[in-house]
Amino acid sequence: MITARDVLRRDVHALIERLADGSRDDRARDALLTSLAEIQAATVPAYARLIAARGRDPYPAMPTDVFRFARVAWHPAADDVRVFRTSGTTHGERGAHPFRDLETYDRAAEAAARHALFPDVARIDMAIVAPDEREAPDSSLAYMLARFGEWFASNVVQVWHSGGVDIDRALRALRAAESTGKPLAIVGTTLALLHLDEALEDTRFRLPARSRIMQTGGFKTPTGPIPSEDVRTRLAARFGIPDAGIIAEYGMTELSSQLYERTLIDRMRGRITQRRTYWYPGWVRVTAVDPESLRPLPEGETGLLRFDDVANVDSVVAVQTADVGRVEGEYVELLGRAPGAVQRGCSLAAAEALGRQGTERP
Amino acid sequence: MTGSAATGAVHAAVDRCLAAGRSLRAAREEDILHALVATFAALRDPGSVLGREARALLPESTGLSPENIEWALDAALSRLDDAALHGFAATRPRDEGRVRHRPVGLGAVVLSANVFTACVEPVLAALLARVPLVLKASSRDDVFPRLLALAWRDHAGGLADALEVVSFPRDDHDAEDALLGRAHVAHVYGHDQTLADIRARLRATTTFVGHGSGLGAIYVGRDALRSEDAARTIARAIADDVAAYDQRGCLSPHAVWVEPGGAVDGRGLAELVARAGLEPLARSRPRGALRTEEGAAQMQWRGVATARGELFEGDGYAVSFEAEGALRLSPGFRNVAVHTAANVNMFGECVAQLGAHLKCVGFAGATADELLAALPANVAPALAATGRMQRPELGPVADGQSRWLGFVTSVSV
Repeated sequence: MITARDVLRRDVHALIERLADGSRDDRARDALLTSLAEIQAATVPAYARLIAARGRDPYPAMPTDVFRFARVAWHPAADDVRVFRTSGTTHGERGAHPFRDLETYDRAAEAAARHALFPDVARIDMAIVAPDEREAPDSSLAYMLARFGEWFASNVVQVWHSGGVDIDRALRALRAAESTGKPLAIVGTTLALLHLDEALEDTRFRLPARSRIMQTGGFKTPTGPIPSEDVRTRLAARFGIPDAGIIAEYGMTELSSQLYERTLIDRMRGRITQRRTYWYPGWVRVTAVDPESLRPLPEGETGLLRFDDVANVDSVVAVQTADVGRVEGEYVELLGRAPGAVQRGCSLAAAEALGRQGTERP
Repeated sequence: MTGSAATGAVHAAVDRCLAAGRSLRAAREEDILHALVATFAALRDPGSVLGREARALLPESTGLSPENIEWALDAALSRLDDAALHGFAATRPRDEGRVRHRPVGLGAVVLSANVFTACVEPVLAALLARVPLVLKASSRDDVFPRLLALAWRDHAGGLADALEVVSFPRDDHDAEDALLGRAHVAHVYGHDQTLADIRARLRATTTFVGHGSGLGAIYVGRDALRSEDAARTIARAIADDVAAYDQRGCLSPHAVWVEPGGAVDGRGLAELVARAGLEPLARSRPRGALRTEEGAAQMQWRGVATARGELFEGDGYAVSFEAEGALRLSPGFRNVAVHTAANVNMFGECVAQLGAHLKCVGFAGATADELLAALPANVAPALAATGRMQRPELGPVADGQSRWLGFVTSVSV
């Protein structure tokens, strides 16, 4: 018997396939988002409660923190095939995003990465600088990178093991790329890439043309985040990859689709831009909302980012983040995350004493 | 002001203050009291020059609405009449037997920006202890301390220099040392980390008195909820406590525990706090605008509240009801949680995790003695009836310690 979920899932897959070339059809996307939100309002208890408080005009977005405190899914836990979790927190709770199947996630991830990260190569040698899927089975990033290896790689080298760099494997992969002239894709977390950078000490490389680096997650030191341009400068100097070949990915445990910096897309379209904004796929709607009212802001204004992702079939399509940014057409400028700890009131530091949480994807 | 200029200004203020110490120590108590009463009356009076200035400048510097500024000025200053100040002065430690008390030579108070009237009590304590005082105002909001010092100057005659205000960025350690290195006591308000940082830099000759991060909680016993009307009255009082200073103060309640068995239960009281309390206050005394990170924190907190219980929200406020759910501190800014506690002892268990951060407990339907018996030994909050949490009586104790602490030394002879 065909269920409503089957029909919606089929429509989602069709939309992703149709928009995989980077085209847009916002009417079709919005209609599908509404259909999904309607059925999720009836089937996902946590979302039903949010709607009871907020109404459904427009459909409210689920704050990311809710994924830490409530199950956000319309299927029972017994039907989970995978649960992706956010990184651990001082408070203990980790956000959980349950999946009944991963086919929709896979289709969205593959289509977005093909368009924004690997538009110019069918397959490419790949070095993964992030925890392995077996080491981190609940990490959506580890899962995605493992699939990247299957979908896009001619050869995969895992250079991150047990929380550290496997320097021998890294050197072999990098030297092989230099000697064979075959481009190499280095994909991983910014933190792990900077560890690799340090581990390589004085060794520098000139990787072949069309090599690239995908980094995700940002990197913070005790004195604050390292600016992304500083990270790019370090990686570019280390690996001999031009700045445009270093692409940041934006993903969250609570979403099934990813955003990528636009540099390779622009190059494929014959455009040169210095802007480091993120392209979002046509099956995703990104809206900057007013931090207080959560109402949509006019295009170009800065607010908290709300993501409506049709690939979130089995949870909720509408996710409200604490990330700050502005939207212009099919691009988003990310301006960082609103800090959880509010600075203005002394009472709020007590909240820090009880523990603050983030929603980083491990 | 550049670093060296700020340091020079601090030294000059400290010099003036120290020079005024002799006159202050020789002054009659009546004269000091008279000057203080006149100072506070001038700021409270919307028709006075400084009163007008306060109302013109404070909304922008504090982020509070003009209506909330007016409320705060009234709440903080109207109680400071002649009788109250005489009563407070009488609590100063007196010589007794072989114990003698004497003022230190110079006091310093480092203020935070969350509650703009927080400087009132330390100013009272210092000057009545005859300790010349330098206030280090927040570099984000120095309006009220400066107006207070100007009002004092207008009314203190020859004691005018006994109260000075300085302001410099928190990372200007030279200016900080110019002040705290010469002060005999430093009362420091702010985040726990700020206190720890300052304490680590303090010279051994300066006594440190910390006033760290804090928050309030409320217990409502079933006796206070005998009828819907009684519950409505309690709800309005709770809303009043929450709305004050937009819930940014260290006395501000973030959570309410309700004993079952009354005519209105916890959920009902949560709804009343929202609809009968905070909703009308949102119109008569609106909340200030939120910054992006404050909006983000509110968004997350409210969202989780819907998942874990019920949320009653409106424009500029929200009340959650999470029954016996674990305490999840609100981000403030008129977002408050209501829980259920089987009895006052259970309430004590629930707030034990707040430790020294629990600065105030509001209560209804229980006695202060019952609450004290139920509270764990690791907390020492002020106790106040609901609706009075942000209007504390002018008493000799704050943060579980004497207000005179550090301003007065005790000597055994």
